[in-house]
This record gives sequence, C-alpha cells and structure tokens, in this order.
Amino acid sequence: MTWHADPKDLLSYIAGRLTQVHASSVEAHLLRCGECRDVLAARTHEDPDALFAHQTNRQRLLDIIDEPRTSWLERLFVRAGVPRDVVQVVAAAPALRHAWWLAGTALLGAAALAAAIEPGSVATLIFLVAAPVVPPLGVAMAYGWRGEPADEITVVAPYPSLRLVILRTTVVLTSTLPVAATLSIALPLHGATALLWLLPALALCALTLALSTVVDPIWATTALVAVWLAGAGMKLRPPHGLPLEHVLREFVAFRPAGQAVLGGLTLLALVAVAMRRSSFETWGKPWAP
Amino acid sequence: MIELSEVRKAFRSTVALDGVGVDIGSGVTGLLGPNGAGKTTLLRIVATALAPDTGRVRILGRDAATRSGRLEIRRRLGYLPQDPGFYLGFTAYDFVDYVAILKEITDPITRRREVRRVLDAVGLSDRMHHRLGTFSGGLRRRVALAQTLLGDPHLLVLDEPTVGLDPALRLRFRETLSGIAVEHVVLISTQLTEDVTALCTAVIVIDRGQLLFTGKPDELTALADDRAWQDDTRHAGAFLSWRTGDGRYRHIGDPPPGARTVPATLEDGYLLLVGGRVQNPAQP
Repeated sequence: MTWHADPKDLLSYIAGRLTQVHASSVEAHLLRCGECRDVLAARTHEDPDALFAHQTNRQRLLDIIDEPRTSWLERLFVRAGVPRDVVQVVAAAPALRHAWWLAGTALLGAAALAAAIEPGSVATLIFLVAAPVVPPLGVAMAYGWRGEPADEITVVAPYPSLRLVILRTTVVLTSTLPVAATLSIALPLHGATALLWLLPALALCALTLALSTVVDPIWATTALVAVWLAGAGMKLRPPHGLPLEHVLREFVAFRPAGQAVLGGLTLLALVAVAMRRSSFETWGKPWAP
Repeated sequence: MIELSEVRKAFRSTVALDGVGVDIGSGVTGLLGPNGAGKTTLLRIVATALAPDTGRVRILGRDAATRSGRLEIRRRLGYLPQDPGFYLGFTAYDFVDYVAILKEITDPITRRREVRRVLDAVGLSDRMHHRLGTFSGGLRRRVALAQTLLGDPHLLVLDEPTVGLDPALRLRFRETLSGIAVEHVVLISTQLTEDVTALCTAVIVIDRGQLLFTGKPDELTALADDRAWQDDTRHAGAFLSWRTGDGRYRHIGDPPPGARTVPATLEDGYLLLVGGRVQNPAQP
C-alpha cells in the first residue's frame, strides 16, 4: 500500500469482501490515516447498504472478541454434548470449586490414610463412614446459605429453581461419586461390600435437599451428617483381628435391610423435593400454592 | 400495573409491612421512607423474591401467588436487590452473561449483544473483562444495575439504585431510566429526595410498615406549603431547623406569626410527613 488506501480496497473492506490479510493491512493503515478514515466515513454515510455491511462486520468482530473464555472442564462438557448454557449455569454455582476441592481433599485424605495403615481395616472403616459424608456437604455448599441475598437475582430469574438445584447437585455427585468409587476399588473388600458407602451417600444428598425446603441447607446437612457419624460411631468398633465384613454388619446402615431402607429414603426424599419445589423459589416461606 | 392489597409481612416478631395497599401505574415511582420502614421488604415482594404472610399481590395483571403468574412476572422483571451477592472470580461480562442465561436469553449471539448493550448502558464497556473481585463497591453496583436492564424488562424494581454512583453517572442513570419509563413500570427505593424530584412521576412514603402517602411529587411538596420559613436566628418552636449556606436558618413546622415563608421542597413535605406533623388529606 502507498500513501493512501486504494478507494476500491476501501469499498471492498466496507463490504467485507477482502481476505483476512488484506483487510488487516487496510485496517492498519486506517488506524494511522485520518484522511482514509474520512473517506470511509463519507462512503458509509452516503450509502445505507455500505453502512449496514460495515456495521454487520463490526458486530461480527465484536462477537468474536466477546466470546466468553471457558475452562477446559467446561469445554469438555460442551464436547460431550451438554448444552453450553447448561454448562455455564452449572459452572456458576457458588462455592462449587470449594465443594470440589473439599470433596477431593477429604476423599484423597481418607484413601491415603487407608493406604498408610496396615492392614487397613480401621482405615477402611473410616473410608466407608467418611465417603457418604462428602457428597451431601458438597450439595449444601453448592447451594449456598438460605436467606443469603447472593441468590436473590437467581431466584427471581425465570430459570426454574428446581432445575438449577438439580443441575448443581448432579455436578457435585458426578465429581465426587466416581472419585470415591475409584478409591473403593483399592479397599481390601470383596465385590459389593466395597460400595456399601454409595446408598448412604445418595440418601444423605437427597435428604439434604428435602430438608433444605424447610431449613437452611447447611443446617440440614450438618444435622444429617451428625446423625450418620453418631450412628456409625456407636455401632462400629475397631476389628481387632475380626473379619471386616463381620464388623460392618454391626451397623444397620451396612446390612442389606438397612441399605434397602436407605434406597427407599432416597426415593421418598426426592418425591418430597419435587412436591415442595416452590420453596426453592423464594428464600424463606414458600409462596402459597 | 402493581396492585398490593392488605399486604403483611413479619420476620419473627418484627412487622416489616403492616397491611399495605398501593396501586402503582406506569412511569417511575419513588419509594421513600426512613431506614427500617419496610422499603426493601416491599420491593422484594414486588420482585417475587419474598412471599407476603397475607395479602394479595397482582403485578402486570398476574397473580404473584400462582407459579405460572410468578413466571410471567419474572419474564418481564429486572430486579436490583439491595445487597446483591457476586461471584468474585467472575468478570463483569461473565456475571451479566450468567444472569442472561437465567433470564432465558439462550441464543449465544443475541446474548452476547445484549450483555454488551447493558454493560455499555452503565458505562462499563471498557472494564467488562475485569474480575469483580478487583472492582470497587460502586463498580459492582453498576454491574448489578446492568443485569436489571437485560431483555428490556417491562417492570424494573430497583432497591436504592443511585447508591454508589458518582454525580455524572447518577445523571446518566436518571436519563436512562426516564428514557425507558414511558410505557414501563419502574419502582425505585431511595434515601435521596432529589432522586424523586428529578426522576419520579409518583411517590410513595412508608414508615414502620405503614403507608403514609401516595401521590404525585408535587402533592408531597404541597404538604409543606406555608410551613417552611427562613430567619436569621434559630426558632425554638420549629419542628426542624437547619443552618443554610448563607448563614441563615431554615425552619419547617408551624410558622410563628409574621414568619417569612419560603417555597417548600419535596424534602420538607417528606420530613413533616414522617415526623407526623402533617397528614396526607387524600389518605384514609
């Protein structure tokens, strides 16, 4: 390019017909040259079509610049076919990162403990009791404090509150359960015994959500976790050479009947959540039905 | 457009609203009242963020007590809470974009343009990719204000929108509001009577959960007609007195005989009303 841009080039530039390289050299010149900018402005001023084309191009450029940055995890979910807006809503869950951090640390800590202590019976017990506690804590944290004004904007948005709660719960579960499941493979237990923590975990999560329709989720999960730990603490004793399966049977939640009850409780709690979903809409007293 | 009747809301033993009934039409309505008067509670109820204990709430012709009614209201609502929480790791753009998704603007291109438009309206286009954690309180307030404008809502409920805005921005904000207010319903609460004078077509005054006044700003000002006067000395019998810039005293209350009365302001009317010195003749 010489002193000034070729008028023909300017026209093509306005219409968006230049190649990327050519267009950027015209742009570089335009940035320095007031006269060519005036020519461009005059041209777009007298020709509505040219102006429109120019604005469309500018808009397209801004759209590219404003493309939100996403984390690798978000991109992974989008690749897997989850709609982008769903991923964004989920990623915005308050304290979700903390929840993941907490879940990961607690589970890895328990696993490390299990590996460090030989032959691992006490550590295994600790793992089976601790693993169900982590997901409901994550659920409560992802959900936030009731009455906290942080979510007032969220609450009055038309997006269904129950959908939001379920989406975030799902994220917590998909991030904690596989970790716990992987770690439980390393436990010195056979078959299904290694997964005894799963139903208690699900039940505690579902009950946390159900109780959250009445009280603050943090209180709900604290109370449930306390009941769980107290029950386990009262019944489970260090094996002292006894087979671990034998010791586990002392705690009703680890017996088949107890597991069935936990499964039933999970379903009942989910039904309660669905029935009381309007309480997720407002902080505090739900709107009259 | 907004009809409340016999609305009552208590938080434990504290009665925030005690049987309030108001009709609010299109235009900008200012809600005035001392701290703790129940302004925020009233706005939260209108924004469907809070359910009243008793009473009827109809907004834009829909019953807020039904789920479908609330959904229809929320689709037309922009709401600025008194104390909105932020995810500090988010940029201003991310935050508004997130709210836009919750407001059902799902098409990515439309959403991007809309987010940029509202951030521009509050003068944040050059900072939209900065994290909220680095923003001052006033800047965060502007981000919160931006999200209320998403989707050009028919009903705007703004809790103290001018707090944290510098004079130039406040002016710009007032202009933005008066520009959109013609066929829209805007309800703002404020501590500043000048906001009402500059902006509002109607004004509501509440105190201790009860409605004290509803009418035009002029009518609130008129309550103080012949009740404001100036003097060189402080007058002990006045309801309130303050020293003005020129060293004289301005009084409001019942003027003594021969007092030099001055034109009343909206603030005079408001102070006399909340102080119980005058009553709105139109009120029951």
